[in-house]
Amino acid sequence: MNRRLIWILMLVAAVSLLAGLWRFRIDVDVFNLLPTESRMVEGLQLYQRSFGSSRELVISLRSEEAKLTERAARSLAESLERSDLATKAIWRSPFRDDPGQLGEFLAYTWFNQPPEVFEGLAQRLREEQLRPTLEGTLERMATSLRPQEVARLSYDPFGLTDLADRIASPMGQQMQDPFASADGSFRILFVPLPFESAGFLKVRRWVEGVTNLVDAWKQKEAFDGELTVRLTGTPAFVSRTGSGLMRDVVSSALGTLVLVAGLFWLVYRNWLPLAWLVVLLVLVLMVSASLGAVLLGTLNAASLGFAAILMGLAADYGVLLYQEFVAHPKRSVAEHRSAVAPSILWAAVTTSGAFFLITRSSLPGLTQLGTLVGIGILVAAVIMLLAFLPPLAGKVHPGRSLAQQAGGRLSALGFRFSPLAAWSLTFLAAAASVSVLSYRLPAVDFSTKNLGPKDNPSMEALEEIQREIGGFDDALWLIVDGADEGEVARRLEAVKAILDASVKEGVLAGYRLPVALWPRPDAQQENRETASWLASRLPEARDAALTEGFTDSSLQLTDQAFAAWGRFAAREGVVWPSNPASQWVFRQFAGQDAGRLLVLGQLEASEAVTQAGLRHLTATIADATGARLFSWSMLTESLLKILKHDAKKVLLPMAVLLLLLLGIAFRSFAGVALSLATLGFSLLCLMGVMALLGWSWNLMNVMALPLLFGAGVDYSIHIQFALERHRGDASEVRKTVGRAVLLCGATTAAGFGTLAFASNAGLAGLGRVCATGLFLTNLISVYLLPAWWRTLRGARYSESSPGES
Amino acid sequence: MNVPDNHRCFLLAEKARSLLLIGLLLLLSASRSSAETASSEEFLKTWLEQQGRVKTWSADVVQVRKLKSLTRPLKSRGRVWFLQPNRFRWQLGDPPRTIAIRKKDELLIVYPKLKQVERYSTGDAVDPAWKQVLALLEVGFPSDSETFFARYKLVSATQSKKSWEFLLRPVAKEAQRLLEEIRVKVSTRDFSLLATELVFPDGSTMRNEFIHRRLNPAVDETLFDFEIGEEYRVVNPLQKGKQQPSGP
Repeated sequence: MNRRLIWILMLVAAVSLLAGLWRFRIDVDVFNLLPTESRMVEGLQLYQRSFGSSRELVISLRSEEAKLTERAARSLAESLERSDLATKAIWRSPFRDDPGQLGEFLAYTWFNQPPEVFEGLAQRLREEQLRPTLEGTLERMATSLRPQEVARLSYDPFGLTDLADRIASPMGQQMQDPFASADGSFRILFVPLPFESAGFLKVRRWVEGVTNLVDAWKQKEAFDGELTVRLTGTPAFVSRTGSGLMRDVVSSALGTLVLVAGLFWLVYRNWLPLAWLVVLLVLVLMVSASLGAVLLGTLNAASLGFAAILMGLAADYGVLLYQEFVAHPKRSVAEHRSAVAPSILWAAVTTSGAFFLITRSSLPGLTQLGTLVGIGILVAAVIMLLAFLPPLAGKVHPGRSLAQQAGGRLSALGFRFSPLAAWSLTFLAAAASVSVLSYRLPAVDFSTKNLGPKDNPSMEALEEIQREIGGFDDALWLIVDGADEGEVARRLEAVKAILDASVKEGVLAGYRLPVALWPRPDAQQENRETASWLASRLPEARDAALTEGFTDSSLQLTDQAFAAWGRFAAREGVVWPSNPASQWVFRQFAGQDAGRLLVLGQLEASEAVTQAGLRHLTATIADATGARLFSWSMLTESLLKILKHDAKKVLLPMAVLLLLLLGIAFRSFAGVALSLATLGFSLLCLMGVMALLGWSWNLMNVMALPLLFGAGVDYSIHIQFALERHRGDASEVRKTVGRAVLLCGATTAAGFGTLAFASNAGLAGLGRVCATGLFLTNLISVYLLPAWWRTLRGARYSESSPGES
Repeated sequence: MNVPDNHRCFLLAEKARSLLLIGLLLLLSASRSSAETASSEEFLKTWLEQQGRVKTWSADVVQVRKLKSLTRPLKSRGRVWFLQPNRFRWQLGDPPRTIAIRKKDELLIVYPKLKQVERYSTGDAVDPAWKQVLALLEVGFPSDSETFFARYKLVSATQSKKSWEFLLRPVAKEAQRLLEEIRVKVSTRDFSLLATELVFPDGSTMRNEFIHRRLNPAVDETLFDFEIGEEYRVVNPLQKGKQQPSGP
């Protein structure tokens, strides 16, 4: 290849590198690893990005004393608000700090009711009814046995909160402070993100800032030792998951690089080719990542695990070229290239083809990973072929003995391995695997926990909140959407009817749906006149309450509610509560996405209900209103279904491709059968190892199968061809091709193996299974396959080689 | 300052005498206080034992609630019945506006005017709201002294000619958040319960004065039950998520 072409290719690589780096964006959202075609995932993603609760950091505080925890929560909230990290930190009901804001909220709630309900309130406030209304309140205060009711009415002489009490009953019935545990020693506070949208790095910096502030605050306030503070909520998850993934990607890539370099050194003991190989591997990685960024846009951090896999595979091409260079030192670079290029390109096309097939999977993270590795293998083949040998020619003189030295060093790897030993090992491994598998099969775990970090303090903190306070249960969630408030309100009513029927049928134990709080434009329009009239009644209402014994300070809520009705009556269009406390409350269940309004509900399935019953309810709601019903348990089931479908989508074409390739390669049934037997036996042993070690198939590693088949089939092809060439001399095959296959297998397994130490459970599982599978396939191909081959096809080479007898 | 030796000795002697006197006084007051405590505790225990032997009890009750938001107290009249070991019926208002009935395994709070019944199962006894409601109703009817002292700590006691008044504080921190202190007034003559008063953390109080008290009267057991008519709406306030959140 002429120099001009090389320069052009290098220029293209440099441009793509720059373009890719410019576009390089990392997404660490675990939800984006899930299949987009699932309505469950769609619902969860919508919930994740559209409701206030998903944009808040939750800080939990625990001490021995309720008063200390309360003091600490207040103090921390004040510290956060004084800093530039948060505009607001909510440590107790936002209405408690300002009853006036509750007044507006109550006024809105009444204003939003059907006209006959609002009119009913107006009747109670007519001149002749004021005194009886107040006497009724006093009687209730005198006789109620519910302390909360007495406290509530103490500041609400006209019973305006009765409505809120009724409509908030699902939440209010719990009668517990939603910010504190029953004994008060555990509290939570919410810190909303101070920016609208941000990438992972910005969120991580912010979470780090809050963590530092908390540490400094604990020392300053001398809370150390007696107070435990933990962080959770979406920002904490994003920060932790993202940091973990980034660390995984970098450490596994570096680990692979070190392992590959170590293996290369072990075999060839030459610094210059080793250093150049490392440089080229890094270049391959950068070009592939850049091309991936150009083609795919934002890359999910989990897919960046491709780096380790790619380096393991790309190193093979360097090793093959260098082996050729060592074996024939007198040949020119062009001769080396033309000798090895066909096999490298053929291998690159088939292996990248296997990885590209993974893009048929429904898991976006995995499809990105497949694409990146696929691209990377092609890039690696081109870069290695073009750039690896030229700088070495003339500078490196391997000498005649180097290859032999290498052979000598590797003789301990057992190149002399008798067929009897191979068959014994075959039966032993088969018996052991079958025994283990008959005892227990590897578990199947399609829960989404495998997509997050293995150790997750944020998850532990969330579980503690669930235990202590509740309200964050893994319930069924419902999102109703619409183009405007009116459409959402109508759909809410329709959903409510279905939910009521489901409660009656015993499918649901109950539900929480903010039907009464969601703005109803029609009702509001009709209520404007009544609101105006009510606002004018304030002076008389106040006088009457004072006369009946209420203090002036107990009328603050009443004042604010009447004033709000005055404002609502004068306002045009749909009325939403405008004060910050109400807005915070509304953000918990009202959201917006792509110009559509959303409302969130929570359902509780009855204990007797089956998944089929819930599926039926989901379908009924979706058909009638388009609303999405989702939950983690239903997500797992839905993923199982999708992955079963995926397995067909990926594995069937893979099987066809394999058979095609094997057929073309061997043109004999026995050759194809032996390759398939190698893969099948590897899978059996892998399953045995997995069952023995308690590993399970999960969302990520189930897709390792195509990778295993794709990469593993190569080994059996190489060994069988070599056996043909060497007339069945297995010892000679192991010394030549076997050694190269072992080295390639070791570098590839190292690439996957480093991922086993990833903090992300999915990546770790994928790395573990792939590394073990490849390692087993590699060993079986090199050590057992020759004995099988001799039994099935080697009759014509009756003369056994010296090493085999 | 130069002080003559004999003068210094005098001053030291005076100082020592004063210290001795103060010490003696402190010792005396401490022993008096402990004698008082011992006496009040003894009386409290005797009352608790006496209460444990009560088979039935009934009285008219005058309940006075003093709230921060009101310039004058709220007064209501009612009646209370007690049946060993822990069953009771409270009704407030005339006609009854609120009826509380402690059955074997649940508490019913009936609002006849609203046609509503609230059911609290004893299985919900961990809920703070439920505990508070029970504390309001049960404080005067302890089943035994062990349970009583596990719940309340005696802070002080005041004796008058006809009664002892005990100031108690909840032992559990969780309970202290809901109830600041409790006063129990007991007759010295016959150990009968004269009054209870609950002081809430916001300073509000609820005092029950018991009059027309009758020890071991014949009590119809049907009093401790309530037949819920069809017109009543029954709610289980402490059963999370079991309620339907239907807006009006």
